[in-house]
Amino acid sequence: MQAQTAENPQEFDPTVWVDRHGDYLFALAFARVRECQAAEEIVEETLLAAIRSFDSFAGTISERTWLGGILKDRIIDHFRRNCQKNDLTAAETEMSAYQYLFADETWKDHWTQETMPSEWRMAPEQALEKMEFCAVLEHCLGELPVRIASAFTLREMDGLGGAEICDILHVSKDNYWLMLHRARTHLRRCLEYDWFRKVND
Amino acid sequence: MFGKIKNGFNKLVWKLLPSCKDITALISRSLEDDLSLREKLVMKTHLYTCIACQRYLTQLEFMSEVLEKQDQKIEKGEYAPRLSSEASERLKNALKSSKLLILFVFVYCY
Repeated sequence: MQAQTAENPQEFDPTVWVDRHGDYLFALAFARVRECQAAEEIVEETLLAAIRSFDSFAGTISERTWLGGILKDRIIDHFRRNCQKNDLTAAETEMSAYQYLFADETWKDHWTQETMPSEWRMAPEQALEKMEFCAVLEHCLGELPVRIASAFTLREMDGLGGAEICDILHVSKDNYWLMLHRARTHLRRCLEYDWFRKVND
Repeated sequence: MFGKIKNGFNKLVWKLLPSCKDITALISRSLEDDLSLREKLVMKTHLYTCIACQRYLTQLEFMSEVLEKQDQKIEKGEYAPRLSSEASERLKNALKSSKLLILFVFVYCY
């Protein structure tokens, strides 16, 4: 790769990356930060970092995979920068908005007949094929406080481990569990009421 | 007969063991693979008696799979958000000027 670049400098034109992989990288970033401007900035940082480390690109993996890997590192940096080093705020740990789900009259803190989870009669792949579902998913994730959405994103989309995420977001293990529980409680309820109950009707 | 025993057992579990609200937190934590033996036992026993929490677990697994598979969809170009043409231009300009800068530094250094 390096030799090729030195012999034919005109062949190394990073602007073609924008045409070839721009949409792909932007979509990866947007799915994680759900904000156009931030996603564009991350794509720009990614391509600039790619120019700097182009010499180390061995060509054993595809250009797209290589750029995608750089982008994921930039996402982690983005989350690290954006998370304050303070404890979780009351708004972040607040679970009282979900208390009504467990307001059964006979059994304390159990699901009620009305709020108990329904059967989601759809495979994940099927759901992802529906534009409306993707829009609801994006909207539901967007309702979460940033730090909680970030923890959930790193865990579920990028498969990072707990210790790594605690380090990136500056939180303790207990708070990490709390954040994921809050994220799952919210996303599940949101998908249930804004998508599945409407589709099943 | 078995129905009655099962019913009695369920009530006992709901009375003595943690509530659905607490179990949902345990279920979430179990996905991080961090439960003690006691917690595991409590969760399994509750799940045996409670269809609502069984569904809760299935739904969490569904969500994990959806988020994990989203990248494959993006790979195939089936995900809606795209780079606007203005943003594309802006990016190209940024790359061009950065390439010039690198060239300049290169020439300057040697």
